Amino acid sequence: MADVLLSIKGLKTNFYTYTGVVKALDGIDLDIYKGETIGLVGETGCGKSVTALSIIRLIQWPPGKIDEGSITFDGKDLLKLPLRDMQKIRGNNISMIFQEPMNAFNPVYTIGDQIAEVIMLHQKKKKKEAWQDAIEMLKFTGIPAPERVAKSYPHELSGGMLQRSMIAMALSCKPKLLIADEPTTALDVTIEAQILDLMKGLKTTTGASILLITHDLGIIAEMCDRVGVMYAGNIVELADVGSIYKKPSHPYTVGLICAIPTLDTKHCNRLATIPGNVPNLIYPPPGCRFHPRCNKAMDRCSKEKPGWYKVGEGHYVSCFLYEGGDKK
Amino acid sequence: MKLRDYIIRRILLLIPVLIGISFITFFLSHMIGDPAAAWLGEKTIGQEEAVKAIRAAHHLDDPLPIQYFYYLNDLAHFDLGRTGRNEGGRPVIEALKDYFPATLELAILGMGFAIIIGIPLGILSAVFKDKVPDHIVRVLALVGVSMPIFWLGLILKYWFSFKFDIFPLDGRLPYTVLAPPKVTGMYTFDALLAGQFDTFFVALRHAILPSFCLGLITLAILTRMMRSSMLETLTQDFIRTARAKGLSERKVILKHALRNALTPTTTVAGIAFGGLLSGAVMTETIFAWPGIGRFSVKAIGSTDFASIMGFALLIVLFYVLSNLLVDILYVYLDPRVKYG
Repeated sequence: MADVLLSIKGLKTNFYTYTGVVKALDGIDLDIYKGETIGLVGETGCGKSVTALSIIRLIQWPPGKIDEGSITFDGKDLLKLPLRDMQKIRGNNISMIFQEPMNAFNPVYTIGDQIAEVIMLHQKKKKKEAWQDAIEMLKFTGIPAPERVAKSYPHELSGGMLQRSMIAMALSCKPKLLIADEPTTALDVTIEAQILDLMKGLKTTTGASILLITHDLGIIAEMCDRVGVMYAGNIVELADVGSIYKKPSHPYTVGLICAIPTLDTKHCNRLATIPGNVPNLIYPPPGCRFHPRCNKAMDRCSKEKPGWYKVGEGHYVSCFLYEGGDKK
Repeated sequence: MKLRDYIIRRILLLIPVLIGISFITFFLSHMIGDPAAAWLGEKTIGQEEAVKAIRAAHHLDDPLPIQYFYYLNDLAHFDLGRTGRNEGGRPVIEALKDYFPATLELAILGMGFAIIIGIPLGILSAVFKDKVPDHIVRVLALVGVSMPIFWLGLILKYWFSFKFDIFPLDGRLPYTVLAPPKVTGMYTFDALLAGQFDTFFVALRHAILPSFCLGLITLAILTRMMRSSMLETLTQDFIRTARAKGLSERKVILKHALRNALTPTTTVAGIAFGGLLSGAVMTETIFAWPGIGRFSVKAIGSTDFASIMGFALLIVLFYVLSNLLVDILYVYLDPRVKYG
């Protein structure tokens, strides 16, 4: 396998609210390799965005706090870096694209100002030069009339244009890792396709790794090399994108894939749903957090947390059903 | 120019507002007594003829609506009528011209205090939400909002003038200092314009206690407003973006959050400025400050209708103008605001 760019080990992020401690991440392990696109998929509230925000340490305290684990990037544990050093990495080596492009730009500054700001900050360029670079970046993301867009305020542009500008801003310092947190959720389908195409294209030209967060398995299939399936603060299955669709192993993944309306009846005959609700993470179920909803649950599932078991090349599952397989 | 048209339209809209205000003040003030008797004072006794003559000369025997039309007619010619005996019967407009700059000076300085102290305190409070600085600022703001002006004024005078003699007791200038040549009528500004720095400092020292006293409530309101709008802004997505770009917390707050949080605070400041002018009544009385506030108190005491109405109209005029100024400021604070 290629070199590891970023390695997350045992990451636990909790939110201390009035009603109790929300255990949002329950020990995440994830390696991101150089040049790959890795997807994180799961339903709302499963901890995808918290994982992303934990990586660049933007979990707001209070109420959120990263309590345990390590995130190694470039040989450094990001969680132990002083804030000043972390700020040098944000937007520079690791940058992020957010869900709602309409709200992610500051309404009172022009797009060009906001892109130039990050270039001036990390590349120590003069304003004029940075502004030129900003226009170059906008052109790079396929925006027609980049000079005009640079001079526009966010409210004057469409959602698709803004997301392109957001990508331009995120890529302007040539990051090694781009975290895209549901980059197309707020956009309509045609624009979504354009943005995804753009990201694919940019990945080949810049060579950056992408951590793509989405709840859309279709996007995962189209974009990613590998995928991690998340449930209630855990990654429950990690595999190459091909094998996850061909051989979904974790009962939750199977449920997810069955819940997509499809003509393929190999795994399931009718549109299925997963019974029950997402657990309250203040009082998460003991053992495997999925066991109350799992149709294959055994006694021990409610007592112990399953480890990682290998079910195929690069395909790991966190479920006792596969205990016979090799440990990761 | 769209903005110019907007300003012209707003100024034209002032006319109906002023007519409305004149209507209300006219009828309200005419309920408080007989101006002819007040004009003559003690001499009224046994002088029925004189009172009658005055009533006839000033249309005071006519029905009120007719009197109102006389008043409106004069108003249309920029004639606000004549003052009562306190001012020796000179035109109201002249009296206002004399007294208003003093009040405006207090209001501007009071607003200065409110902005320079209130906004940073509000930011501080928001940034350190639920920590010690926030608690201190919140208590101070609450105290500031709840403090009665007349009490605060007396306390300030007691401590800072009487006990420690840091600031003068009252008035605008001591008798030994000549007023600077009149340009705006505001001594501090005129002294600066004339380059008389000694006079400037003397005038400023006189103005500090009353303007602080006047501005304190506004200061507290601005602090609370700034705190809440800052807190709201800090939860916005674009703040997270700014942090994700690697900006320092200082830049995130002072560049990205501040400008967005300023818009609601500016609105409040605009309304408060009008309030400062009318609120000067109490402060000016306590500090013997010769402004329109004190002028209006005397006018009310002597049933001087024309002066009361002139005062009310002037206050309304500045109230509307300061709100117009705020609306214009929006254009510069927030690019999403466009008029036309």
